[in-house]
Amino acid sequence: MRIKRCTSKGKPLLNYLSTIRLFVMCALIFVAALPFWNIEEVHAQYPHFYAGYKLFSYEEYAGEGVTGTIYTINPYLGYQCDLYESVAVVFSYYYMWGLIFGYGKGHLTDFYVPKYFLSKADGWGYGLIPSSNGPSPGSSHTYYITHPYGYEQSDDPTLWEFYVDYTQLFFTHTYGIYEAKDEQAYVETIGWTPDISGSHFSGLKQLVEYRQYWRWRLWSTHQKYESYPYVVTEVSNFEFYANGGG
Amino acid sequence: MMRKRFLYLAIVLAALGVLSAAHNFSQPAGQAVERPTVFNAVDVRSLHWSGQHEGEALVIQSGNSPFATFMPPTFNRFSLAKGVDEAARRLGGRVPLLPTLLPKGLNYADVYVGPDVIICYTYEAAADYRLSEVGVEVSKAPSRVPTPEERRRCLQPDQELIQISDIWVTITDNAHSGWNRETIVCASFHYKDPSYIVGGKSPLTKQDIIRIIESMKTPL
Repeated sequence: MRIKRCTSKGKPLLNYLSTIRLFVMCALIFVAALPFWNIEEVHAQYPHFYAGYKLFSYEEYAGEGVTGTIYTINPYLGYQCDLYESVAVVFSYYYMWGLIFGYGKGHLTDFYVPKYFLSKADGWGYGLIPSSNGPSPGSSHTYYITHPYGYEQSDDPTLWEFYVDYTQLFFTHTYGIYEAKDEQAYVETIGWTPDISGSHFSGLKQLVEYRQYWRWRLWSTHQKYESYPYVVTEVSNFEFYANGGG
Repeated sequence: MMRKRFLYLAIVLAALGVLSAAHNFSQPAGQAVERPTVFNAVDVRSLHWSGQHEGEALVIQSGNSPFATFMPPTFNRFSLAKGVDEAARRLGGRVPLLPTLLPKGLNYADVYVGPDVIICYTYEAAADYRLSEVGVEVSKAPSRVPTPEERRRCLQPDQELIQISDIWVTITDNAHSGWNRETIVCASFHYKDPSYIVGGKSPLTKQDIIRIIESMKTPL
């Protein structure tokens, strides 16, 4: 009887049912395989290398700003490599929040020549804002990060301002964070270790209150940090050279 | 017949898959979904710590951010019993407030002393503070701290300003960690010079963090 039904009129219907069954089987196998399939986002690896100073002021507030004079280098960078030379204020080491300001070049921001940048990480997330201009290789510029609320020039505790040689380049507001925990000045490379020879940081200062006046005071302490192959040559608490790589 | 066998095999595999997925997405033991967190009084003597030697140095690596990041901080790690004194020394003699109530199961406490002080609580021994469930970051406060009115003026839509005793706390359950963009509950406040950031990971809620802050006291 069955064989009879499969002939002529029954055949197309059976083929149709078989196709559906096959489709259901494939779907079930796919569902079964999902949990064993590593569908995590594959993060690109971005190794970071550093050479520089942390202020690490003991028993004292970090200050309402940081400044430092940075010599501009312009080394060849390989594919997928970035170079940043900057000063920074850290809001939280627990959550790695803070502001970084200086110059840099690299593929991520299409820097083929050095450009000023601001990098920000806080409760909103993190991101990097490049400027349209930058320093000339071989020149030195003084970078400032200031917190006007701290020295009573603003009523907004979330406002931070960024200057190069007294010209304001950026300002930003932070997310529920009102003060710095530490300050840093350093060279950073991402992805590879280009030659950073010639890097020179000097005049590292913190903005502090002294006898009811706000003034830039040279760092009176520091903690050196260097990652292979870079080397920091210490001159004083407020000046260093960085070399190596390539 | 052959196709039926394949169908059974597929059904068994699907069932296994569903079970495995359910296991992967379930909460760790000791935590309940959509149930109030159970709190226990902190018994300092029964707390373990994650380190081997008091004061051991740890460099906390910066991770794999594609952007410029800070130089890795170096911290010295202590047990809670020893670390409170070290923290007070770092903070110019101020003994930090510590939670006296914690979610049940947080049996490990570590004190990290470095550029500032981070006190962490975890369910198990942790490699460093990034893996903690609850953390309290304490640092020296600036000379000018925001008034409640100034804090209120700069609140974002997902932030809230609340008063706990005589402390004004800015709190949100929608902040993002700079380490891995994980969404966290985060509160900040000033109390007698030190400034505090208190944070917690999911499934801890804003109410849980408020309860932890309410319980914070200076250890005797």
